[in-house]
Amino acid sequence: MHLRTGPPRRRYWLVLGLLVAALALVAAGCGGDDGDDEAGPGATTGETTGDGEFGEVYEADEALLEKTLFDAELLPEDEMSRNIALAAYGRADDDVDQELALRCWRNNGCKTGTDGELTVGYVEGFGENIYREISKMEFILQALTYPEIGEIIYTSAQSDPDQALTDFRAAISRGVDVIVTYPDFGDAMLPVFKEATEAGIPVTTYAWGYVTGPGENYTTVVGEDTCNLGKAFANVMNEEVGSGKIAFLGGFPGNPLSLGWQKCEEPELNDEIQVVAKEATNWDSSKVQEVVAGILARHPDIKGWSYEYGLGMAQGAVAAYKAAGKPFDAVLTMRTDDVGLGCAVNDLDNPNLKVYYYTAGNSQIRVALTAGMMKLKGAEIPPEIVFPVELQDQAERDSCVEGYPQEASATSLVPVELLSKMYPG
Amino acid sequence: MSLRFRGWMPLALLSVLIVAIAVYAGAREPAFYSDYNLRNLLLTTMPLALVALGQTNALLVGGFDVSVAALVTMCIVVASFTMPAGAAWWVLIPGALALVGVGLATGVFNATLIRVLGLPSIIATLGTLSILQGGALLLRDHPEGPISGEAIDVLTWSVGFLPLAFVGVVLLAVAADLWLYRSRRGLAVRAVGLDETSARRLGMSTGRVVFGAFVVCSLMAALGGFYAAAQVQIGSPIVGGYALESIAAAVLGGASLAGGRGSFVGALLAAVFLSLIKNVLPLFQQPTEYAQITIGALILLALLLYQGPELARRFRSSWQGVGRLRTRGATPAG
Repeated sequence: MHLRTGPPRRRYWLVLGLLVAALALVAAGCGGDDGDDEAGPGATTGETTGDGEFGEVYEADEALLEKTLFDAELLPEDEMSRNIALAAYGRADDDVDQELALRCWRNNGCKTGTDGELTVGYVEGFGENIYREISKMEFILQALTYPEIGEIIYTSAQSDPDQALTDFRAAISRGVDVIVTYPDFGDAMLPVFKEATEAGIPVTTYAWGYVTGPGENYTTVVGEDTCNLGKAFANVMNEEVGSGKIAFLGGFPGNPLSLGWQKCEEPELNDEIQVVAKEATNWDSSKVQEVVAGILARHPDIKGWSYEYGLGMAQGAVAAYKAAGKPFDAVLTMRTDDVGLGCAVNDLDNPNLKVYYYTAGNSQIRVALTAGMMKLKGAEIPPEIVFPVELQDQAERDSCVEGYPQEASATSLVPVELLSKMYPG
Repeated sequence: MSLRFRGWMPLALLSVLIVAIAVYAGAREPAFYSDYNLRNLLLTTMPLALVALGQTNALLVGGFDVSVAALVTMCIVVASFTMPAGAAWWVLIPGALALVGVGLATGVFNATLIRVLGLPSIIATLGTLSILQGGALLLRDHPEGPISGEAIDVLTWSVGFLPLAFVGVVLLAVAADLWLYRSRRGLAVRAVGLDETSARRLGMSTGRVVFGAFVVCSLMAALGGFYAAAQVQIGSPIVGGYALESIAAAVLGGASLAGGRGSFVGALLAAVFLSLIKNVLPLFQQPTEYAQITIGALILLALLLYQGPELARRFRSSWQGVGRLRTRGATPAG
């Protein structure tokens, strides 16, 4: 047997190199704080120096926060919620394998290739629109920043409540470690939330997917308090409409998001403002067109619309007004800042169309996942992680961002090159 | 193909498919055999199985009942009022009877529309479906009103992974098949479904048979409502929707769309099979589209397999008709 030995000079450099590497490793082991020891790539990029625990670093880039929240100050008020949000958005800056993310997105899940022991799942009742698809990608990108996550799973029940319960139970049976969800069927999902919690699985919801008993029946709900969103909508309507008819549009009948803002907007409206219709659209553009056309036929003098889905409004309502042969003179208060809405408004170039929007909040799903991961590591997670609400005026902050697909949200943290691959053309 | 063989074929086919899928799923994903999963599989089968047993009644007399979808939803919503969380047993018993009453009233209403007003069953029950859907949304515009935990515990009481109620449904299906094939009343139901005019000429009270079939169908859907309520545990106006699935289960179980033939045990097996597909797909990370495709394809396959001779006869008869027309058309010119 021959031992492979190099020339003496090369061996000297090899030994020296090994010594330096060993010293560096020892220094890293002694100098890093607890958080750094457990942190994934998000905490080890060397760009962050903030405090952290539970494998996270509580610091995020200010420009990134401004992109996704409009203002770096619009973080949750209480300390732990703020830290979780900072940890989540800090990770959003990490480099991840975009090709893997795209494959994972297209295949509804994947092995991450890290051999990590954890499996995380995004389990939702409905995933067949652009908003949910982008949320899915945000979830995947965030999951890929954790080397301890070895598998990502995704299921959509395609609007079938019974299937949603079955999917959730399948995730519990499989021993998924963290479940993130949007509870499309509201409190109807409570039995499975409780079952997961009893099985020790953190369950978190985003986009203020409020189900009764956060902190007890499930880990936490992330998002803007939709009641505050409703009040912000009412303030705009009071100021811009003053008096006259407005309508509320919503998603699926009984979904917590629509009910949340609607129940708080109405009491805050001036006495001179009448809510003449409250209609469900299933967050479907063609249904929006149908519903808006119907309301326009009954109330041609309608002055305002409150709704969640900006792109749905852009595609459906613009077509309905056009078909009715009416100029789109209205005040819109929207929850989402879809690029397509901003571009449609710009194209119409109508000074009587005023649009106020909030963030679609796709990136809130990152906070929901990070909260679940921190819970696994023993963190006390607040039952509600609440972001403050500040509506943006389209005339002042244009949501029609160049280079973005029309379907995307301007505040999404999915890189633009990845969005272009998700929605080519 | 003998009638006896055709009667047994659905049961044999479904049993083989269930065992094959269960063995495959268990081998690939050990979580499939966990008590938690098997219990949930059987409990989620319960509403569909009960509705499918009822639907088999409607199919046997040559009709359809699509209102069962909304009836289940209505029962869930009603249960959230009449069987609320924390209620004492003396409230729960009349509360449960209220659900049965909703089923009975719906059945009588449907049967009246079909037998007294002479509406086609699909149109009549479609109207009822719409009324019940609207009513459920009027009573609860979003999921609220927790349903009694004690009542849910009783409904879902299990030994190991086996819910006792499921054993009850198995016994009910077997008894119903014995009634259908071994009793005079069962014979009358099949006779009315096969040829109502002949059955009437033979002195059978065909109106009463059809009326009864639709009332039983709604009653079974109301019973299914109890188990759907136990699943969702809250007054949800959007949970339910077993119309197409129950028809699929009845057809896969051997029911003829033309009436006169069917099997309650077959419908139960098909309900287990359909629930099994829905259970297994998410375990294997497969999208639910596959379930819809599989169910649709299997219904067509079942129709071909079980009703092949009838279809062939109809095809031959149509083809002969076309041939006669062609011959007649050719004569003057020729």
